[in-house]
Amino acid sequence: MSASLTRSRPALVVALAAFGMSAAAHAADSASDIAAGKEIAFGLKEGNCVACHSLPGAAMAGNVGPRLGPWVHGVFHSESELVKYLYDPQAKFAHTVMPEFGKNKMLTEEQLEQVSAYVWSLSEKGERP
Amino acid sequence: MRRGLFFAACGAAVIATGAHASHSVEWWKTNDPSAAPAHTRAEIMHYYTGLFPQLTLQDYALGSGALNAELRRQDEQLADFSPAGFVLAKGKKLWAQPLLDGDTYASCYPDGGRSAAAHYPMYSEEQHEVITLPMSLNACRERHGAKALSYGKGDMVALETYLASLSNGAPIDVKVDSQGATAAFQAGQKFFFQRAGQLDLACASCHMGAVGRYLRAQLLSPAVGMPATFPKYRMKWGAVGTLQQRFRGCQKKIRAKPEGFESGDYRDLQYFLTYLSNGVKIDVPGNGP
Repeated sequence: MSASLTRSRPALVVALAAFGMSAAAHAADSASDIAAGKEIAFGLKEGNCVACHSLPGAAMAGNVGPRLGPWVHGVFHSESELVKYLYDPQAKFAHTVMPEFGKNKMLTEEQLEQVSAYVWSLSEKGERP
Repeated sequence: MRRGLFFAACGAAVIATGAHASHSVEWWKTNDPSAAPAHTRAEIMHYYTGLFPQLTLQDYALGSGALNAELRRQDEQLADFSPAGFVLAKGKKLWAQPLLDGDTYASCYPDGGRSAAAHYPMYSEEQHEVITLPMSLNACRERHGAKALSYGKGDMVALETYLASLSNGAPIDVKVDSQGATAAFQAGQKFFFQRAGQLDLACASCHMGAVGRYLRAQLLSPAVGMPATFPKYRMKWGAVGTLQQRFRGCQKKIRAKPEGFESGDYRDLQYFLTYLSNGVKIDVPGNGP
């Protein structure tokens, strides 16, 4: 693992503290959260995850990033970690091309949690990350 | 379970490093701010040729069409009936019109302008800045008593298109051969690799890190070769536009504030990209989506 990938933990802690979220908030995702997250992920103006990631049911999806599926559980280990990642992806991977959805105020805390709930709920296997 | 772990590991690698995790050269490592321009060009070309070993240098002039045969076919079909022909004809007419003192644009360039565009942008040791082709046209106008034209539209784009077309078939040959020129090149390099905007993306994020991949339906093209076909007709614009118009579009997309035509940043960036494209033959006006 490169030095750039190992430097992330202090930055993550700071980001998380600033963000003021708790793991308990993600314990149970409602169907409405998942639906709202999907709408954000597919929407052009807010999340627009489909611009880069293939998602079940998405037309004209990009492939800059991997097709999202249950494999994200293995990378992020908890939904809270995924929320933190969406807030500031560079804190975990310095050279990622993924935008900082929380840090740059593209999505609110609530929206980040909804998108995470949606992505975490995906059961369809990715074809190839 | 093992397969799930494999997907997780691959996903982490792709997310961590940009799209081309398996490539032997990490794209951001091609950015050595103090390296000599020739070294930077070699590193970036090494990166691209590692990804696309099938491409010749000239293929890079095709943009995304070099990476997808169907896109290439569409661009070729567009060229057959391109509205760019009207802009080219307008530019030819303007070029032939005498300036206020009776002289012509052709008098401002060696060999009447043939192959002149292959050497632009160029660094001026007298003015200590990068001079682009449209700036040279305005300088010519002013030397002969005419007012400068606005950049990025109308008559200027038509003139630039025609003048560039006089270099069609000539390989780009931009020099970076002084301390000042190297500084301008490195400023362009810095802009290219600098993250910006609410999306926090650099030019390099898409045109190196994610090159050859799709952003929704848009196939991301290599940075090398782009200058060879501008001004070009883009269906998205419904008009002929310049490379700097493309810069402005990209900056809007990443939610950064676009700069004005011929700004110092844009000129340095164009200088950087055009030097990277040395050897690619000019083919103006280009056509694309």
